Amino acid sequence: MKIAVISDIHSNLEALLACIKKANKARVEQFICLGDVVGYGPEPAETLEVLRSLPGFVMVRGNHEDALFTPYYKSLRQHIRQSIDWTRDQLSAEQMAYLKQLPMQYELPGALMVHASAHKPERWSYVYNNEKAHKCIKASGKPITFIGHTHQPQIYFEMPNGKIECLTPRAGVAIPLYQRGRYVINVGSVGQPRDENNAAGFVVYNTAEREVTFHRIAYEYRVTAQKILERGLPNLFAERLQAGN
Amino acid sequence: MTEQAEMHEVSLGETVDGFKVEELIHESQVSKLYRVSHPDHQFPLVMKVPKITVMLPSSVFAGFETEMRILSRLRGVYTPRIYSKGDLAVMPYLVMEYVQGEALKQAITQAPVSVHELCQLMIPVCKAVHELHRHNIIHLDLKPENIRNRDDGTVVLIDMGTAHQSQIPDMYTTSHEQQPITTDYVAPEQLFEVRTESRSDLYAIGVMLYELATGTVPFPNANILTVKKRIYVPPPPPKYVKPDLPDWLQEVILKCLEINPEKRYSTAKEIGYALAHPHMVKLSEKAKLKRKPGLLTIYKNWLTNRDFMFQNTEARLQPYQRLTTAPHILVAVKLEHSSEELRQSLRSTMQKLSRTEQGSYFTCLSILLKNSANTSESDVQDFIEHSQPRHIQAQAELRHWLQPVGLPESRLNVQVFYGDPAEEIVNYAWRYSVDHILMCAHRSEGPTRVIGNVPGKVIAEAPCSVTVIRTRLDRSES
Repeated sequence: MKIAVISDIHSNLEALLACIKKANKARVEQFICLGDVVGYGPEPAETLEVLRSLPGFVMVRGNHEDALFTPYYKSLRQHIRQSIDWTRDQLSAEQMAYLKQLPMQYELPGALMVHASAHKPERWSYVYNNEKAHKCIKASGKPITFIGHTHQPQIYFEMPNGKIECLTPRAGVAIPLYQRGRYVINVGSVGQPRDENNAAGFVVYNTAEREVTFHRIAYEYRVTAQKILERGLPNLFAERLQAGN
Repeated sequence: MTEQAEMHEVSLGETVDGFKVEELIHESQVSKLYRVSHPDHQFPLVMKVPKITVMLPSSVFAGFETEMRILSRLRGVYTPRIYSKGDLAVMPYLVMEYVQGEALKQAITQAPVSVHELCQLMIPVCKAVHELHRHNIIHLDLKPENIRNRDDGTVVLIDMGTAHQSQIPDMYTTSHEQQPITTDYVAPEQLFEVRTESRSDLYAIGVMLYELATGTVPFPNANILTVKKRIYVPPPPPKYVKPDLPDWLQEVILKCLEINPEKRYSTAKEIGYALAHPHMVKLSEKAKLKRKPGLLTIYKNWLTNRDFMFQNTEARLQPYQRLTTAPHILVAVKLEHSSEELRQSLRSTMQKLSRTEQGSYFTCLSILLKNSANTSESDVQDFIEHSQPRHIQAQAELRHWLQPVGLPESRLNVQVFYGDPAEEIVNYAWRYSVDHILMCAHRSEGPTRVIGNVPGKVIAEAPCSVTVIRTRLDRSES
């Protein structure tokens, strides 16, 4: 079975639609979202509705969803709070209720889906080095952990001697996941990539072949950027889309 | 551990997915190799089964999985064809064709062999290694035992358990000290656990060439303690063992065995090309060496050859990228019936490529048509016609035409064949792993109808990029 694992869409409808088209071409049967559907971008309600219509759609909570409902909101910087406040006004009561009940993590046979890290996920800490990845691997309880949050596609893997290594994946290359290996797979970001590449990113997980393929899809970010400016959201969110950082 | 308890290790006498396990052929510390049969397959098959015991490190299992994945991805031309594989979590096994030919291993037992036989054996090996690198895979355990051949002579590289594939996580952790790797063929950088250097395989090719040429390996009886000697001791020149070896062959062998990978050939294809075209080998002072390296050289190397020399991973290219640093460019030339403008255009494109691609090497190929029966009117005319075979004359003309390009002989080879132009060009490109073909599109001048649309056929059938040079058309000409 092929599963599209997407994350950090951040209300970017154009990027999401480009990724869905690519996933459909790859004959994906299920979509799993690792959170942060909202925040930063101009179309939270539309984005959420498209997502919920996808086959087998499952979603876990991201920190931007958390910020809609919990005191975590207060820890955010001013311009992010501004986007959270604006987002809250755009969503219907039903959509808010949906986002409020989201679980912190979701389990598949042999894989765990979580937004930030399997290690104390409610802390929203960033897995950006081998040490953090090791903690995530140990806490996961599953050989494969899919995460997002940093907006940077990476694979951390445990060597047979216990050492953790990191690989920056190349788009389009099917990467085998060894039977006895343990992995943390950061799927990158659909709506706001931060690895100096402005193309939308997601992963296709082939459960039968035990392979993951990272995809990068160019989309018309200028349309999204224009919408961000038209809605009076901070300029920075529009600029980041072009720079991809 | 529960996972291992649930796994089943295939054993003798069982029938698995239709494959009857008939005979244990080989058993190593980590796996067993059985001969198997299947009613649908009439040719010999083997089944590789990893030993499932809690005593073995999981890296062993990773090695089996690496081999399974690499062989499944390759199409089985230069690697064994795969027929079936078991679920890794339940019953791991791999059924592949049984490639029994051991021509290289047998030749090495009879070494030294003739230069002709050495080339016949090793040119296909270079091609196979080149193809592996083209798929971004580095074998890292090349040795005569791992090089087999099918009945039709195709070389097959076996045992990919320690191979490295770039762009995917490398799960190999066992260092050479723990691994029963054959120390005779291991490259200096492998002793520092560098696994991303495609030129390590070229070192192993060099050792096999050395062995075939002299009857001994450059560092015989190496063990865990003495193997590191090769980091600073250059190999004794092959002529030290066999003084009558041709200069060019010593040059090729010693270039493969350079301690610093940067000084070796870039690609296996270049080694194969050198073996096939000895006159192209640029000779250095190494070609004539007959003495073992002096103490001063060894001392200097001992001071400079440290791990950083081998572990410059930032500058390291992926195997496929490295192949592009030494492109083999085929220039198909038809001097007769070409306009001066077109010929100049072709030559200037060659010149530009030779400057921008510093590692490139060129073959200029001219094809003469076979139907050349001349019926001259007198004996004197006959004598003049036959005094110089046409291909010799054509070669001389080509060399003269190429003079302004200014390429050294080691980068430029001139060949003239008789036959169908498109067919000969395409065949040459396949045989010598040509990366790029340059040729002219002839328009109105000359008997183009005779040879048909040569560029069209070459474009359709060549295994690489083809650039067709044309002179600019005016509106009135189109």
